[in-house]
Amino acid sequence: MIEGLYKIEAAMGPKMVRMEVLANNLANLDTVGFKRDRAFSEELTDAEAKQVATQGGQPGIKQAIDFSEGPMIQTNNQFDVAIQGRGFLVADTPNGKRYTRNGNLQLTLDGTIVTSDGYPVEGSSGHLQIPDFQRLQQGAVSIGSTGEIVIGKQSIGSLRVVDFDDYGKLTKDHGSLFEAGPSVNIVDGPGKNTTVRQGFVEGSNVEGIEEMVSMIELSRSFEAEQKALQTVDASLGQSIEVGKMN
Amino acid sequence: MNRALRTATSGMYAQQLNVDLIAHNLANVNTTGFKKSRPEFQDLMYQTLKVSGVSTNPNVQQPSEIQVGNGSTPVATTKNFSQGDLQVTNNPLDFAIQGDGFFQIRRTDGTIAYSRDGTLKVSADGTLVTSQGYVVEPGITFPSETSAITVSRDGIIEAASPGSTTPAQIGQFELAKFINPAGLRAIGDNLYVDTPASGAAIVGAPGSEGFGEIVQSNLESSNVDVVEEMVGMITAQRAYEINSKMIKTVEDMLSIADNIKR
Repeated sequence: MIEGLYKIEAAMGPKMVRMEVLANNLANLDTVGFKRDRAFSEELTDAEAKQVATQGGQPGIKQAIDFSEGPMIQTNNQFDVAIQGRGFLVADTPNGKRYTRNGNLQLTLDGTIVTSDGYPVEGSSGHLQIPDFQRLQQGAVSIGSTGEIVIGKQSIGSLRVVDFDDYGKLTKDHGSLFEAGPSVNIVDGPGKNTTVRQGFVEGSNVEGIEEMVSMIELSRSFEAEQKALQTVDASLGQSIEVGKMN
Repeated sequence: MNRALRTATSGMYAQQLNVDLIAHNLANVNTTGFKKSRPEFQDLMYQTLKVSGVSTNPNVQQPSEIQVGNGSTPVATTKNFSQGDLQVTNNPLDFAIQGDGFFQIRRTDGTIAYSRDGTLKVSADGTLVTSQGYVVEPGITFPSETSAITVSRDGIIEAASPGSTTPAQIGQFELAKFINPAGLRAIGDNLYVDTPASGAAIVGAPGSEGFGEIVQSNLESSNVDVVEEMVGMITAQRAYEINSKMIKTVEDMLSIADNIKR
């Protein structure tokens, strides 16, 4: 009987964490370059369930990031780029390289092209900087489908677009940035099916309806487990009563 | 679980800002030279929950960590400088810019601001000014006996006077443009000022390479698209609603957890 309690508890705990993951997806319905998280409950053996219930810890959840493409949103801003197809831009942060599909690029005082967080964006050779930024004579910026940036008629370099052999090894940092694990293979691109599109950004790939359905499903099964827990508890109570009569 | 409550709150706050901007865009659907703006959001820090206490099947690859995010936050609002429709007004002192560029307006403190609003007036002393009375740079003064004003596409201003057969050229418009107009700061009155992010102004004659042309007796209407804003309003409202549902659901789950012990 007591075993039953453990099992139900091991099922309820992960649902709370899964709800938090859903909440984060929904809060980022409008976040450029956001990729939704999917969390699944994992089947546990009896021993594992008991261990979780008695010793604590984060029980049976598996998580994956859904890297499907978000909608292309037209912004008409010449420093916005969206990557169509596979690929990531490379941001140089103090904590190392981070990868992002958030192409909402900005400029600093000296003309360096940075991410919306202010981290320099990597070009094919070093950072991208617009020469003589405060005394420019040309204002037209064109970013080609391979990521080449041309100011007026002068090319200042190309955006570095990379891809990975295994997206499962990417973890999230804030600001739609991803961190690559040490063992991941980085493929320099853009690949032949990848296009850089100027004047667009990639919207969040969260679908409100889908998350809503998961939310209902989760809260209902949570409720059912509570009922199960109460039933087991009631039966236990009854057995104890039986014991008393003897 | 409290994390989910805070996360959903951040989502609601983000949508509130979204609606604020949509309201401002819609309020300016008839403002000459107005440019719509949109918010930009980012996801917040992730908290990594370690998987511990669970032995796993050695044949199955176990992801080393679980990450739970903490919601979203607004980071910026960006102006969209796409061209608005040109509207014929038949007023010779109305000007629209077709293409890139801004009029340069000298403010009372001597600094230059930039505007796409070409509803110009002539002040008592004959100077070309904006509706608010700011001087348009470079300062253009019409002779007192001017009877007609013509401005060509490249911005050359000619004034005709009674008794003279050929109009006299009295000046030329100058336009300013920016490498990153999205970095300009709006200060109200249809004016923008430059910021480090926008870069310094690049000044040139209308119609020259990369600059737009001046269209006389026309005004550039607001680039707000009502249908687009309405759709934005619906999605923002729904997103707000779904985040509030999340709060409600989390609350329900907490109360279910509370009621486990009868």
